[in-house]
Amino acid sequence: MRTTPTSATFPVSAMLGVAAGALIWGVAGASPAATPKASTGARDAEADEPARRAASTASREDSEKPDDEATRKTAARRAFQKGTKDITEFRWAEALASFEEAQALAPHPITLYNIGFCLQGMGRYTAARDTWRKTLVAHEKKVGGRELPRQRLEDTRGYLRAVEKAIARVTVTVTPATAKLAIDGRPLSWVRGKDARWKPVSVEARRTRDPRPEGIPSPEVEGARARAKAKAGTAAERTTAVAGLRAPGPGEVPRAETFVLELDPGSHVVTISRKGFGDQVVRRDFRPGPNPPLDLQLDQLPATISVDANVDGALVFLGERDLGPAPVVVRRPAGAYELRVERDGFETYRSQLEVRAGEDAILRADLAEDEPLIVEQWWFWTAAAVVVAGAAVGTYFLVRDDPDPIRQPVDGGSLGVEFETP
Amino acid sequence: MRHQVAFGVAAAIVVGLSLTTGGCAPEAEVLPPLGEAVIIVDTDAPVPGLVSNLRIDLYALDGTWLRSLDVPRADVAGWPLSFSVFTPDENRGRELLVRLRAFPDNKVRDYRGERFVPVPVPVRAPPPEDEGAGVAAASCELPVEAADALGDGPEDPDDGSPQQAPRRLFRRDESGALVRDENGALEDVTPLFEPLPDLTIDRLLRVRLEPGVSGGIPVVLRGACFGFEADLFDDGNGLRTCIDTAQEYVAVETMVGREATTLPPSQANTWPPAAPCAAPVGPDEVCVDGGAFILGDLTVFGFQGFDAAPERVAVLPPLVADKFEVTVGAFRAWWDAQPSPPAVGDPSDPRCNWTETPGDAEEQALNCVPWETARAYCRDQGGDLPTEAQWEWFAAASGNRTPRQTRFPFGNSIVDCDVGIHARANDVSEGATECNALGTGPQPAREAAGSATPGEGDITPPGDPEGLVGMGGNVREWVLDAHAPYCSACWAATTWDDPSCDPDLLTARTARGGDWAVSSQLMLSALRDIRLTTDPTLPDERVLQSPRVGFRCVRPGRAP
Repeated sequence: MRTTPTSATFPVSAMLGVAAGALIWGVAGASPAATPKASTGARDAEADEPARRAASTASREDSEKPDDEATRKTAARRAFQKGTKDITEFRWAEALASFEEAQALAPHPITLYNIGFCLQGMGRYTAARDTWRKTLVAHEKKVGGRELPRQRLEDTRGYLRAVEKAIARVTVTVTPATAKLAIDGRPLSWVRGKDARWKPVSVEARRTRDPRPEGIPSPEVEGARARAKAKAGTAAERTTAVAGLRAPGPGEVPRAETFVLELDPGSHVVTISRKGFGDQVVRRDFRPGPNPPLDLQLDQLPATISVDANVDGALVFLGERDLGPAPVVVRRPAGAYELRVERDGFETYRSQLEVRAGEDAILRADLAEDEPLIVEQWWFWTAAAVVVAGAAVGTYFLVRDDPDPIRQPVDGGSLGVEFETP
Repeated sequence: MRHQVAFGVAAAIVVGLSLTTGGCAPEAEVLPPLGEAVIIVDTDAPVPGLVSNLRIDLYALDGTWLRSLDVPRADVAGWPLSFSVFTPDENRGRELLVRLRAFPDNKVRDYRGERFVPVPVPVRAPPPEDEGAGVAAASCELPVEAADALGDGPEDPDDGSPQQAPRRLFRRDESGALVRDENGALEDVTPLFEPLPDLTIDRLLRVRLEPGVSGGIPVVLRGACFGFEADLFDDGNGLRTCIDTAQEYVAVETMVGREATTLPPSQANTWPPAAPCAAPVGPDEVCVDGGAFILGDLTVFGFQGFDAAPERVAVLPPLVADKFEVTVGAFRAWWDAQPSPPAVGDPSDPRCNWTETPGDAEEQALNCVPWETARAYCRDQGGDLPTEAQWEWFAAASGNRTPRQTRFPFGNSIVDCDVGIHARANDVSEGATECNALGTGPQPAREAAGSATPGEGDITPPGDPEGLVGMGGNVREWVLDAHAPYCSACWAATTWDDPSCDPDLLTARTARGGDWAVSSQLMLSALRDIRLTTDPTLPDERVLQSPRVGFRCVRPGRAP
């Protein structure tokens, strides 16, 4: 098959989300097996010579493969071209899907390079960094028998340096350390540890003899690390986790009680699960670079209180808050609460309950119909509370105790508007 | 975690015993309420005629603007309304300013915030002593300070410096803290518009929120305060606001919410008090009830001295008005009785219909009559010329019309040749001629609508519910006031109460209502056209009388 070597450089502005501001990015438009048709899509007449050579080489090799191989390559080429088109229109997700399809059909360093580019465009900086590292590996190993063009190789290294500044870093401490952790519903990748799933790419490290395989950290990170080091021991003992690389799945126990977590800047949901406790969810915003430490102390996590009643339409009050009709499930800080369940025509159920951090408390209020005093009291006190908290069983004191103080709510007037005075 | 277990019969017995012996279970401790004031806002003004919106603004004592909220309330059932201000601080009280402004629909202007700067002259200055200042001193433009202040950009209220005018409002979260974007910038949410001060009841409250004290502060926005802007600039004399008396500012007192928070019955539509016309009425008179309306028309603008802007609230007493423009014949009866009859008309002008002996024009509306002569006639009838506000009340808003205020005496749209005597000039040099096939010049007053079959019933123009005939067209009508722009000091010195610019102040006069030589568009109720003077020392403006101008009289309508 004859091909016309082709390549295009598309100026694409992208915000990296850091002080770097708008950078001019290039995306490799050279298909692993570009066709003459592909050349018509080239916007930039200035050819990228190394890429052209690579593409040319690729296409020559393509022609020597068996038919099924050729079919596969044709599909890969089509996907690659679609991805190239999408990327010029900033349709990162579509482009990513196309490039990933192309990569699955016919692995190529340039496809990987473009995948990294898409991920970067989608704000998935840790994944972009991971992909660009793989790009360098693929380049070294000549995956698919090809290398990155020199310009793209240098670009890749530049992007790796730049994306490093965009990644958020936070020192995480989990107590107790047996809790399982997931970020955005995905387990973490461990950079250093006994059985790290993903070994750091060695290209940069070997070349620069950088003891830190994650790339080149910012001075702030260095400072943070120095502080973390003083706290957590030597650098060798420190563990780094990366979020956003693995497929969605249940959380895993961290490799260390305290570790540095690298993740994309923005809002993330941290899920901590522990046997006998409900999943605890913490939502936090992270900014590029170092972030304030995140102490996930399960003992300070909220408890889950579930209240059901034996009659429909019973209203549940926890302290002064109206939680609405039973059944309700609320999360509240650990502590003592006054629980009240009431319904017209029924004796109000009251209970003083105390919940531990992270505990699941399940209560059922048996409301008795209004009857004479003695019976009323009898039913009141026979209201059953069932506490189920997995392995940890909470027991609730059902006698009347000093209730939580209550305060009349703020009146919103007929407009329902309350202006809080700062 | 306490490990007390209280299930089962034992517990039930113990508890049962404790109950039977100890009585009731302990009540929950009730904390004192947060410092809160529920501000209950009502108005006594006509809803929706003069009040259909409420603007609520909150300021810190240093003037920092905290909140702004517009509440449309065009339904009288929506009054009173209430909202609450509170402080979550359980230890320290807070004070803040609450500004409440009630105003009619669409009566807003671009935000200026001018009342945050010292006002160069009191808003309602007494009329100047010297005659000329009544017109000349005032300017329809912004005060210089406010105009300069408009150039100020958004400012950061957290920079520690006192805010300069005009105030800007920046977005705050629910707790009242300023919201900054990712670049640390504040979001300017200053309202684009503010109510027109002349059409607004503006009330300023200083509210103290004391921890543990929660209750209502009832406030009635009184129609008497229309046009009196609250004074938000403390020049050392404290903040001032109008509470319930026209032309009276009082110091803003600090209020604490201690009253009931329930909504009382509304007082809406109790101001102005009903003023039914109760005077005996002659056969060619109409008894017009008093009431409140918006004097002026912002859309009648660009006529310079004749502008009907700015608008203001005016309240008129009950009046008895001539049903028709004064006819030549009616005038003759008075003229003949005068020991020294005044000069009327101009024999050299064939359009003037006065003749010293009865002629063909006895039923026509008299024209070419000087203002002094017209006034003397009316006074001898026990009345006077109507003021501008009275005339406009008749033409635009009196009676039970829909909509409540109309742009023309005959409704909201222009009319054909058969309604109102208009566009009947002899030729275009004299005026509009579209309708002159029906006759030129002034017409019989009873046929002011140009009806083919003269008669009282069918000559009342549509939309003229009081039955006043010829308010639009035929001859213009002298009004009592000195002719001065509405933004002049003369008008600024008036209140809403039967306002008028003193005719002794100036010699310039106004005539109202369009005439036989204008097209129907110029029969606008609010148009204050033709400036005539009776001062012979001003030769350039010496227009003592006009073939276009006649008059009608009014007299008080209260029960004798």
